[in-house]
Amino acid sequence: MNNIVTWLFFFCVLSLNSSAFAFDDEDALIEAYGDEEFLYLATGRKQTVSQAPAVASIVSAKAIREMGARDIDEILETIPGLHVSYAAGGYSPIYQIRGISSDFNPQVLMLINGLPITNIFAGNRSQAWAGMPVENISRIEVIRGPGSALYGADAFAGTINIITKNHTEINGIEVGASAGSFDEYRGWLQYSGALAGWNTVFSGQVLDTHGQHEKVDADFQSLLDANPLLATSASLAPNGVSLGRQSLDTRIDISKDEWQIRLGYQGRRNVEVGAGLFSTLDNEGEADADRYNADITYLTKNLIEDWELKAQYSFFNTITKSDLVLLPPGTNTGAGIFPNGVIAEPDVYERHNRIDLSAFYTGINKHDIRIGAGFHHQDQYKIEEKKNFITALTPFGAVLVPLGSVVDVTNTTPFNQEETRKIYYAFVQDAWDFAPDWTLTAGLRYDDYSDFGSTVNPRLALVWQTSYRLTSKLLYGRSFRAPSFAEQFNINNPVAVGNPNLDPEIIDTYEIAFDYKASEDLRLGFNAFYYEMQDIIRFNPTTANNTGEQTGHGVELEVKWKATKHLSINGNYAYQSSEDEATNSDAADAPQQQLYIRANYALTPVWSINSQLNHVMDRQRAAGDLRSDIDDYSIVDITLRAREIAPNIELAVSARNVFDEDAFEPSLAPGLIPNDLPLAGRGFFVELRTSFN
Amino acid sequence: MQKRKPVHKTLLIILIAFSALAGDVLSAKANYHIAVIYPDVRKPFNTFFENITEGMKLRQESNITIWPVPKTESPEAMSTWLQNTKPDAVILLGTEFKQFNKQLKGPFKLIYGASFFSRNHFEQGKAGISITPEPSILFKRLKKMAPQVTEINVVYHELTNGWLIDSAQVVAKELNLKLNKHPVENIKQAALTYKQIIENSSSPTKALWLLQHDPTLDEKSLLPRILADAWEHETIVFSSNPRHVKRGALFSSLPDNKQLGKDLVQKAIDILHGKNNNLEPMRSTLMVANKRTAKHLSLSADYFSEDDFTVIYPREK
Repeated sequence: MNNIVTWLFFFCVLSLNSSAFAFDDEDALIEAYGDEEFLYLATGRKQTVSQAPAVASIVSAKAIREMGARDIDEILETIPGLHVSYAAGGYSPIYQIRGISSDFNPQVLMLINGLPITNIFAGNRSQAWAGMPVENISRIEVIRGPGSALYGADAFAGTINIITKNHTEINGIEVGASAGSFDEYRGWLQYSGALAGWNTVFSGQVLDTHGQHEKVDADFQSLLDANPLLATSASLAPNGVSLGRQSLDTRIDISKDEWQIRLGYQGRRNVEVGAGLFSTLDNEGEADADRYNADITYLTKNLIEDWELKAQYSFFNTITKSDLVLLPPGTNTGAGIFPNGVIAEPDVYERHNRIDLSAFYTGINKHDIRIGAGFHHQDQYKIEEKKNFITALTPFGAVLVPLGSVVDVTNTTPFNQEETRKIYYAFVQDAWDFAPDWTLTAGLRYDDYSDFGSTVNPRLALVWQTSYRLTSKLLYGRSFRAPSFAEQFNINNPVAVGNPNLDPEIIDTYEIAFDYKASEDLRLGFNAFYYEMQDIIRFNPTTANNTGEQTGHGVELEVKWKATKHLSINGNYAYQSSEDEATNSDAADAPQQQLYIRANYALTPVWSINSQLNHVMDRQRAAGDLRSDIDDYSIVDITLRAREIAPNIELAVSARNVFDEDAFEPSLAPGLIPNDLPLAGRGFFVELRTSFN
Repeated sequence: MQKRKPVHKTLLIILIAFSALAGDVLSAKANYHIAVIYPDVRKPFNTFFENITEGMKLRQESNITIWPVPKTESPEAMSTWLQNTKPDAVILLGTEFKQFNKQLKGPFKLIYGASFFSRNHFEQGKAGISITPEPSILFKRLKKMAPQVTEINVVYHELTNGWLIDSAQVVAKELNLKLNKHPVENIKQAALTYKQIIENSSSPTKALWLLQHDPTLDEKSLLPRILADAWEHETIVFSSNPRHVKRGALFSSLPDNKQLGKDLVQKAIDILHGKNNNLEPMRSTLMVANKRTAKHLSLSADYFSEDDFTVIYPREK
């Protein structure tokens, strides 16, 4: 709490200091243009009108830079109602939206430029996601609530759409580098120009880090070690989590007239295992990932009057290879000692091909009609596995039986299977201005899956321009989450058996939202929501089944305030309460309350300071987990930025978790890592950037 | 009638040929040297000037030298630079340099751009292109979006915007629109006038035009009042200031920077040819509209395609 007081004091001092610096030329330009936003718009960048009314937040490149974010998770944490938690294995992010949380987090759809990057194996963004750098991001749009009526599967708890920079947003050649705590080094190069008449954008970003190394004092192996019958002393705890990794992110985007072609690659090397896939420290295990994407889009407004037509083909290939030591050398789960530890080397290869056709029709007065259809082919085309154990179920629980050495089990007892899935879909949406100030948007999407059959998901939105300052929205939507291949086709793992007969998870969400513009400088957003989840897929007790139900409700409040010419303040508060219907207890792990405040202050035309506070509160344990509730935490970050410290040189110095707060994310129930997963302590980072025209 | 002698005919032909040649020579003095100076402001504000100068460079018939002047430079340094550069014409971008009249005297023409002008500047005989959009562009757009409108009300400060209103009156007449002028001296007077106009303009045939850079239009307190009242009375409000659209005006315009750059070079060439030595509003614009307001006014959505407008508010979530 002292930390918050200190931060608030700091912020007050800043506010008091708001002496008037004269930005004469800039003032004149702002008067000519309206505001900074127009400077960009007038350079030719078209806005994208979002496709349906929803409860959404947008974070711009400008805000990303102000807050000094280095990874996408730092940005997502600032969204109201969204908290980024982590799984023990690889510290893969769990985007908890409105209290919906699960270890693999398949209930959130992440898109890059509108295209899903979901991996069909676990329904997440790969078992070796390892973060995403932010330099090439133009903006991030986060829709909380249902999106299946437009996006199809997995737009369930929410949809995160990452839009990369186009040719108008990069200034010739831009290069930059940063370095800081945890031996972290980043570098980037971006180019925008015209090549053979095509607008061309290239972006390359590299990262090498040892990662934070906060200590875990006991892990799952510690629990095994405490069993006198097993007589082991194998745990590596107390020891630090392993979060080193290297990454390369490249993108090429070329466009001309109606055509756009985009190519992307995300490479991940030596991705360490966090706190271990088995909630057991592992200082040897690593994973590599290669993710390729390509898409070609044709968009025309001139072919037929009143019709905007779009055709898109996209391809996504994702390969994750892991070499893991699930339990350390010397471990024994009851069926023999593993002198080299429990070793697993699972590799998953998958590819996705998509064809999407859509049209936007404005030929009927007072109606905006959107229709579309498409095909998506999911192909888990190769599964490989080596391991030195088999899992057996005994009356006392699951035990790992040593095989003596690492054996290739790809053709004998692999963990999953080569599988494909075909999806055909069609959707229609009409936005009807049925009376002055009233618009009713109705949408429906039909998806036909080759495995579990068809699903229909509707969306209704009633928008009322209540007054000059107030807009009110009433929203309903149904969404679904398709079972992952792990849930359908897991084999040879008696504690997690796949079930090919699974149905999708379903959620119905009701929302009421208000957007109030108190003045040009002060904007308030408020929404209240209620949702019901059905058919939640759980391994219950050992085979995947549609058994879970969950309900939740809450409110979110968002404030954007330009307090003075030099000081802007953004903040949000979110409250949610979600209940697991099977146990009548809190759905667990996600914060019931979250508060975020960010102040950006222009000290001089050159220097600016940004400080932010994230307060995470009220995280309860799952039923049957007897540990006390997870501690609240408050993290304060401060970034000092000099736009032109020297001609065309920008410098930023950033301190993350300034007060070195002990912050933890929940470990799996009932407490495999008893004292939870530690987040990074205080860190310092320096960044330099320049550009050439 | 006496027959004209062939020799006269020949002379006439030669004369015509020469005069045509002379004209060619004049316009073929392609390599006018035009110097462009603008304040070297920080990013992203500099993109505005950079885009204008990019447009200028597209006019290849002129030799253009550009100097983004750092804030630390003295007016004398600008004077020295101009002496060394020896331009035929100088284009001054931005509001900052209007005050440097004395230092910028020399054997060259001065053209002002990307700035606001008052009647004073007009009377001083300054030449250039204002950042204020040409009223006819706004009026034509108004007629397209709301064809029922026959009258436009405008409240303005005579010394600042009188010159613009004079030219607006001419174009309004050409478009069969009646322009009701309401000159005011101060904000208080303006507030009363706006109130009366809105209360009396519930009829869909009347519209209100808001100006840019007018000292009697207070943006903090008066503007929100005007826009809120206009919403209540369903009065059509359009503006010369794009910022007003985000706040609820029906439409406005933005500078089309590259085209503006080309126009400024053309203006310089015209002036060097002894033509158009005056101040004029900006003709190269992009349109901005507010769909929320249009829906409230029950105007047809047909005019809201992306082809018609560069930006459409609100940027719906």
